[in-house]
Amino acid sequence: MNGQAPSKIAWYDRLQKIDPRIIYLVVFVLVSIPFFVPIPVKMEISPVVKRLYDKVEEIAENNKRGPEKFVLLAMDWSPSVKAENQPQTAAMIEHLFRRGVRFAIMSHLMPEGPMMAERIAERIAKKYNKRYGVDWVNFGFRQMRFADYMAFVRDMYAIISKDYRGTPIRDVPMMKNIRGLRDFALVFDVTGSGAYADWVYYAQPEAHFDIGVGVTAIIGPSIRPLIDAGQVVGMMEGLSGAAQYEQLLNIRGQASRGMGSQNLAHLWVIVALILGNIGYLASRRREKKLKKELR
Amino acid sequence: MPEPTELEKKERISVEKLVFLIIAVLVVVYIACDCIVYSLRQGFDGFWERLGVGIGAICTIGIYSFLYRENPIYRFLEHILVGLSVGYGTGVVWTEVIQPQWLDRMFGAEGQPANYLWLLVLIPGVMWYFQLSRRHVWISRLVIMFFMGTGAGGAFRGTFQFFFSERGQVIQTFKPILTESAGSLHFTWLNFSNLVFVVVVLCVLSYFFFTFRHETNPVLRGSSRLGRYFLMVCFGTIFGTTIQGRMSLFIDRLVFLYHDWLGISG
Repeated sequence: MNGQAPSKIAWYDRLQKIDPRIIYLVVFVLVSIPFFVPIPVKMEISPVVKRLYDKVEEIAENNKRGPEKFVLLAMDWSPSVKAENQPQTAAMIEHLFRRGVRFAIMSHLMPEGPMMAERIAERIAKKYNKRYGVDWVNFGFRQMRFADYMAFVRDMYAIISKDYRGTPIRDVPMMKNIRGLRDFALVFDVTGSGAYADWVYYAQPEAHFDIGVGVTAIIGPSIRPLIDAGQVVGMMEGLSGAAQYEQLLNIRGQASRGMGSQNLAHLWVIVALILGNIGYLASRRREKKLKKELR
Repeated sequence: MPEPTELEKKERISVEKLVFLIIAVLVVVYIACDCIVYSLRQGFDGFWERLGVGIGAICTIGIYSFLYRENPIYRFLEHILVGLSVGYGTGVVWTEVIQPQWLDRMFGAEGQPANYLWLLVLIPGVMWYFQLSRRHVWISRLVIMFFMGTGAGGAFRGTFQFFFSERGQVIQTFKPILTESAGSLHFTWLNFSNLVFVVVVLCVLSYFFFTFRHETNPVLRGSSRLGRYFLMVCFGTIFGTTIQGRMSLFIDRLVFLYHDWLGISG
């Protein structure tokens, strides 16, 4: 002790200087609660999610009447964004298997993407009795530049020679009906980056397919203008987007289970924001009062 | 609050070290027991599977220990992560690009005839490395020029399509503010939405309009100020979604710890 009386910190200063470790601890406790006491969350379905869902339904219906169209799942995500992109991928694959829409997996950006999507597809395929090579195929990772997209539109065999499992791509039964990107009705790009833009910039004007995206919440706002213009048909935005899609599919998947924790964490962020602002306003008021007294 | 003395600080650090050590020992013992139990139930494969999950759990907890304070465990794991990323990246370049896209095409692979013309690709490839020589750096510029030219050409085409095609961003900015039906003009909710859209676009554009001074022009002053507020709303939205994204990452890690590691179903 230095002999001086300890100075008392005002409540409004305390509110502005909460130890971050206390904030982290509260986040940890709140996020953990739904793991022990499940909190059911009913999501409001966003129009952008509904439009994506409707697009897949439309493809399924059109396939019954006319020539078959496929869906390309561009898995441009890595483990660092697994939290958001994995449930989105799982929800889309579930929908495609359920409606019998055949699809191909590939990535032009992340080598890990096709590997992770393969695991998800294999798991869900068992539920619907679907077979690799007949109901879905994995092209694997193929780094592409703008000229590759144009080749991909006309003749994808010039770009892809083998599938993810090493089988020559022409020997895969599903590929009998696929020549190029024009045989796909939808490209669904799942990413935590701007990878979707390559499809919009280079491939869409050539092949006129629709583009749907599953993106991390951070990327979401930058997609809105593209949806508004019709360049992107619909989107799953972050964990909540995947949870909404799961709700449309009537399943309780990874995203739906995480929404209880998400809600509590957001509630705490709002409370912390309010507390900090109360402290700031009170300290400003106090400063003004002190200045007045000094005059 | 009085400042803690040097002795008090040292005592606190030694207590923290002890707590860290106890937690680390408990975690390692738990993982060891967990692996043994699994291998007894599911054979030796179960052991390796559980060991992988256990190591993942140690890494997760160790990385999150940074939230308490910078510490050697966190730094050790951080270095492991960086090393793994570099090693993995190198492996991927070899297995996903050099091997299938070049070597297999040149020397031939299963179902693929050899084509030795691919050897020519080596020439521009080697030209890049002349960047390391001050005297011969001009050689690398030749190949850089080629790549810049093709890149710019491709980008220009894509950008033009993105902004000026039928569904392009610029073309789609022109939205109807009035709707014509049965020979008369109507103002619907959609038109109101379009009007808001157009006003926001103009205000934000005026904020980035630097030909005239904003202070001296009353119209520009007002619209640019509004534009700034609209931008702030946009940044706020992005920041909000960033928090949402970060929380999702944390939830995913807790799913791993509670569900995959500790077996709590949730």
